[in-house]
Amino acid sequence: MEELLEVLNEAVEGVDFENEESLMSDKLITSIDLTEIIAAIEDHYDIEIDMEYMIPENFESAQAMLDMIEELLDA
Amino acid sequence: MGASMVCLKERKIMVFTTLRFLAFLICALIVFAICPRKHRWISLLALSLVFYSIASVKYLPYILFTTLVIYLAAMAIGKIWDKQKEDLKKEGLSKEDKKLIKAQAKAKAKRILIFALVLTVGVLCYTKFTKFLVGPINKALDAAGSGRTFSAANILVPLGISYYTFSTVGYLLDVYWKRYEYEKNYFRFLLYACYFPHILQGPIERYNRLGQRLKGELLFTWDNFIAGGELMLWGYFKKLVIADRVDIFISSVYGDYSHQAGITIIIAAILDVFYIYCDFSGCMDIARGVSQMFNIELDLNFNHPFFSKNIQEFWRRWHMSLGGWFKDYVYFPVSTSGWVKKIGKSVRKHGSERASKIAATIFPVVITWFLTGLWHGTGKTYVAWGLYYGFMIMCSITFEPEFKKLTEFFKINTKSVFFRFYQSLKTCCIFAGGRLLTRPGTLYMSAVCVRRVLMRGNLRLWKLTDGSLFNFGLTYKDFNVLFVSILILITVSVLQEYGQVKECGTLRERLNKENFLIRWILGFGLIFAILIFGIYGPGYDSSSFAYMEY
Repeated sequence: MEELLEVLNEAVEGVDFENEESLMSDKLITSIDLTEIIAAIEDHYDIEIDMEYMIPENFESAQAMLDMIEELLDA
Repeated sequence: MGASMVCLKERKIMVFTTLRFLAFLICALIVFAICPRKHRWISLLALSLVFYSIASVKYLPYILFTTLVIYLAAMAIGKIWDKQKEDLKKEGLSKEDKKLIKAQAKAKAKRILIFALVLTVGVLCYTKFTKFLVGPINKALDAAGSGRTFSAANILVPLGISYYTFSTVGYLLDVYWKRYEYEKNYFRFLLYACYFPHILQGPIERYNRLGQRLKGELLFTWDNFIAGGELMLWGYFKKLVIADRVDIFISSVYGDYSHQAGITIIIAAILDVFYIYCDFSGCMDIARGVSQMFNIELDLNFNHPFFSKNIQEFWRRWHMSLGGWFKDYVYFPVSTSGWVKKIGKSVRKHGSERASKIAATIFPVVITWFLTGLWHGTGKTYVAWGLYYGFMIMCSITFEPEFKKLTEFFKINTKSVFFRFYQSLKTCCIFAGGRLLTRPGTLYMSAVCVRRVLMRGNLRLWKLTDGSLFNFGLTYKDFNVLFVSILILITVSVLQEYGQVKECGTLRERLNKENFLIRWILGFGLIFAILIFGIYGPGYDSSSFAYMEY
């Protein structure tokens, strides 16, 4: 998780990724932030996030993103 | 706008502001209420088809074609995903085997998706863009000495084609991206596409929301009837008392744009912001109110956009269903596509992190806004309008750090009421600038209007007090009505926004807790205001909702 938090904090500044549970619902990240996050995750983990994974639920919290990354790494 | 009004009149559309529509609504509610609950969705489908056919039966084949193509394509794609799921369950498959199964399924699904998109978006482009392209094509043929010319006079632009094409294409893409299951019943899908409260002007609903609501319990209750009626009344107030009154002034000013004083054009531009907001959001309130009477909630399309801090936020709160559609189906696919990522990486290698972020943002933003412009209209004015917003949004993103530093340097309290007011005012000015590109009619007319505002000695501020403003179709009494109505609109908007920020419920929820008498006084007050102050004179055109032509 710490590794992901580092990636997220580097991609988007000023968001409490560690504690926030509803990043998308509470509009704490914009669509531009989201594309930054996707690009950073893809780069760091060497995975490709398909459009089917680009749903708000997968980006609501750092934990949700981690679950998605693990699923993609297993696939 | 004038030509489109004539066009709409010829089509005999049941616009929300006509008595014909109210008569239809009463009949629809009776049919809906007496129909057995289980079959109410069928009654809604029949009523929607009747509503659509009244404008012209000629439009029906278009909507049936689009919905059938999308329905069949989504079903075919859905079956491919089902088969893929089954194939992946087989035992003894290596990682490579699984990848191959996925790749083969994806290739098949993609072919179907492209075929369906070409057919449906092709119909949309053909009906909307042919008229725009015929002129230049004929000119080119003429220059080449060919005697042939094309005519686009007989091309029909089916009502609501942009709305239902976008809604159904969104559904197809969601099935392709495995976001939800495909619909098995074509008639259920057809109802989603042609449901009459939203067919003409949106909102562009998502299938996983409206489709599911239409499958829910379709109740007819007194509470829903009253709540829907209240929302409709508020919509009629915005449309008939404010928008239609303001429209008389604006049309008159821009009708003789080349002789106007700068201050007159400035006032027309400011009032135009109220016009388009009251016209479109009023229409949405009526549509949502009508739908609520059938116990079906339509998505919110406006969320007090003029309280936005910047232009990006504005477009998340104005015509939200269109903005959301472009964000999900254009912006994200483009911004996460391989070529945009490559550009970002390449700029990062040779430049700074910030430059890379800007480079990776500029293409998706410009493409999205160019297409948003085309959605609104096919002329150069709309292309310019789209690019104008693309430019404004890019400026806002690019210079955000500098602006933050400036506010810190001058120790500006960014949370103060004054700063919020400044942000709202700035957003309104940018929006008014965008309207000035499209409302006068052509880019040349817009340029003349801007020139007349900036022209030395042409501001002529005394026109504000010498009674000249009463020469544009509105009397002193009309201006008083407008002033009070706009004050009511702003007060209601502030109260609604306050309720949202403080999370103490919507204004309607708060009003519902009030005394029965207060609610009835407010309701009848609105009815009388609409009846007495609504615009119904000889110059009144009930079919002129601005967003109906899309």
